[in-house]
Amino acid sequence: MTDDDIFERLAGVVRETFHVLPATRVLEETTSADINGWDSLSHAILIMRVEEEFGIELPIERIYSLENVGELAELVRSTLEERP
Amino acid sequence: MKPTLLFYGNCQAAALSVIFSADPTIAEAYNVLHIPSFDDRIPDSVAVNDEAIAATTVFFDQHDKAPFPKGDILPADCRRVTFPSVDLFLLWPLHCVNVYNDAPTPQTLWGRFPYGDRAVVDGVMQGLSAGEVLASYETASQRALPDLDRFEKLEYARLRARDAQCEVKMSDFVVGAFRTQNLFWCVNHPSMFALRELTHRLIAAAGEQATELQRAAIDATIATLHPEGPLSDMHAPIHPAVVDHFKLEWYPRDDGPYFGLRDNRLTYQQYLREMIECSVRVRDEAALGLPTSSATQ
Repeated sequence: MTDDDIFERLAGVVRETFHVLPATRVLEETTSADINGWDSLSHAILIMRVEEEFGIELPIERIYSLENVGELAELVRSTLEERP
Repeated sequence: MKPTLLFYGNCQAAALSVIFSADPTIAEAYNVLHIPSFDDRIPDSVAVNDEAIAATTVFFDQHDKAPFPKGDILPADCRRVTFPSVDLFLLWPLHCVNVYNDAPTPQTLWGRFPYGDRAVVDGVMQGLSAGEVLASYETASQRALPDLDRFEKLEYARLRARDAQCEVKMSDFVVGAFRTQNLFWCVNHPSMFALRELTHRLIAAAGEQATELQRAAIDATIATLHPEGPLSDMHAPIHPAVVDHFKLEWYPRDDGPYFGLRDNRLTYQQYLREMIECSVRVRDEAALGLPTSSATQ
């Protein structure tokens, strides 16, 4: 899976979780402040949906220090790489 | 002019200021003031003047995205005690922004159903009738519930991450007691039991900077206040599957009217039905271009 594939699938999960309008782009630099409803609770819901989408378990110690969607994509990528 | 005990933060900081100012020893020695970090919508909310801020001896600073805007006025030698917001989403995993809440009124500053339920919101968003949303709620909500064991781990991580940025910690208390004690009325409104613990921790952290605080008989003061605490206006029901999963010892098992607003407590089924009917009405009014009406009984 390429980095672009990961990001597109991840952006899809973000869109679906927060009912993001089609006109709104989800970019690497998109943060929780840019998306209505992305708060500390829904962050956990998002993380669990991402884990389900990619069949992985993200390292908990990193989850609450992510700054934007790009960093979440990088975490997904590195977790996929480390998967046995 | 008395020295100031200044609280900055959300409604919890306001509740703490109520508890502190109710204590005669504290009230005699200090001005207890609260500056909200949010739009508190309270009509008689008093603006705190700069002179009172400059007289601060202990600044109770709740960790918040919005830092205290008048930090430059605080005395350099005042004691700053940082503390976390005390909340727990774990018991309300379906919580979401209620985009179908009704309009605020003077009696309901945040509308009647400020705490949304993802299964209800999704059903209303799909265009279902109130009867259809109600009939499908059990199935829809079970499907919407996350893996509660994984969610528990994520919640603990969230609480610990926030505690790490504060001097006063609360995650150990919340994690250790939420099964046996009623700590919250809804995701972000702690009960008096939880506020009492936070009050004691704040007083201990203030230390010798505020000697009169250490002399306060705070438990006796709390006993004179409403037993549910200052943040008990809204009681949000917990999903039965969550009650069972976490084996909540304190949660009422009968069908009593425990939920909703203080002046109109409802049973679980009544609460669910009224929230759904309200949500569908708000959706339909919006579709017709009508202004959202307030509660209709």
